[in-house]
Amino acid sequence: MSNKRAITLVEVTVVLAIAGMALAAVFYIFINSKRADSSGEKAEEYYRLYSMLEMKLKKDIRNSTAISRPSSDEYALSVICNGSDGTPSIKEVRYRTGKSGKLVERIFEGKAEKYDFTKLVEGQDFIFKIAW
Amino acid sequence: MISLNLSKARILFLRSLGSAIFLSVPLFSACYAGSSVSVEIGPAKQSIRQIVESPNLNNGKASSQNWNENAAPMTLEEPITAPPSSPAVVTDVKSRSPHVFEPALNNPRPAQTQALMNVVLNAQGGDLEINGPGTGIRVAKKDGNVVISPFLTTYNQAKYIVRLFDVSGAEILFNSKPLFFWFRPDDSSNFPAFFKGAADAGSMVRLGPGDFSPKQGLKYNFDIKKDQRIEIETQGNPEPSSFLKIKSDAF
Repeated sequence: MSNKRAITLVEVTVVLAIAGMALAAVFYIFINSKRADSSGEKAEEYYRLYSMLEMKLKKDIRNSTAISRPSSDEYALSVICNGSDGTPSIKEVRYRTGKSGKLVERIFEGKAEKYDFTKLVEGQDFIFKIAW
Repeated sequence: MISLNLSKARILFLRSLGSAIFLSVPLFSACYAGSSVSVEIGPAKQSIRQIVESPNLNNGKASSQNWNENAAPMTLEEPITAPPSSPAVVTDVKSRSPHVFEPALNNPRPAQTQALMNVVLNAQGGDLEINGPGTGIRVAKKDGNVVISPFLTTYNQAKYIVRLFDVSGAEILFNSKPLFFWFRPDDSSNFPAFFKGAADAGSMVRLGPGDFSPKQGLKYNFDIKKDQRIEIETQGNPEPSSFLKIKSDAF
């Protein structure tokens, strides 16, 4: 009989199993936190975009003298604006939704501001509706 | 019969109620159409619907309000021509102090009450005497006689002036000259004194050819009235023995 001490196969297996479980737990927590981070960022980005769009839209509606819907994905607002010299004039502001309905564009004086909700509302329909 | 009538009345009531509700809906929406716009944004089933007021919107058509700067100006009301009736307090003040309500030009201040700052500050009583350069003012407290006693001996230019002012403050001139005026350019030239616009040849004494000196003991009298004023002024460099004295019982 040899007096030399050694680690049995069972012991090694048990240790590996415990280490694997610990690693799995750590990995699970890490993945979950990453996912939570990502969804939080998405929500934050969504509400930021939403607030900007809402603010612009409300302002335009309050100053509007006429609203029309030239096409199913477009609204045209005649808005009272102050010119550079302070005299008021009526200009047109258009709100256009893309084919997916998740990209809202505000077109004013040939410039388009884009509010893209495509990545923020995945798997859901996006509603942009003006009724008067 | 009664039961029939009751049922008819009930039907009539229900019909009128129904028609009232039916009419009120479009009337209500007609009243508020254009004043607010509904906005719906967000993902399906989580979208947020809001009502936004739009005072300029007129049912989707351009507002008929004329906000253009070229709009016709507002007509002004006719100005009030009749004066408003005075309250009792104003009437009372008016009766006691009518001058307050009169224009200043209608109520000029009497000349006697006009005061000049230099007179108020400098006018004193008693006789007046100046030896060197200087000024003096006296105001007559009553009618009286004034005696001017000048003696002007000098080697350089020197001048004595006595001006008389009336009650209104205007200077009384004699042949466009002051009451008394004596100018000497040097110690020997013949420059007599002027009193009441006339030269007094006796004011200079001839000592020799081209050598004249002032006469001593000169006196000039004139009458002064109450509130008339005398101002004297001596200029130049007269000799210390020179003097200009004004004496009167009116000061």
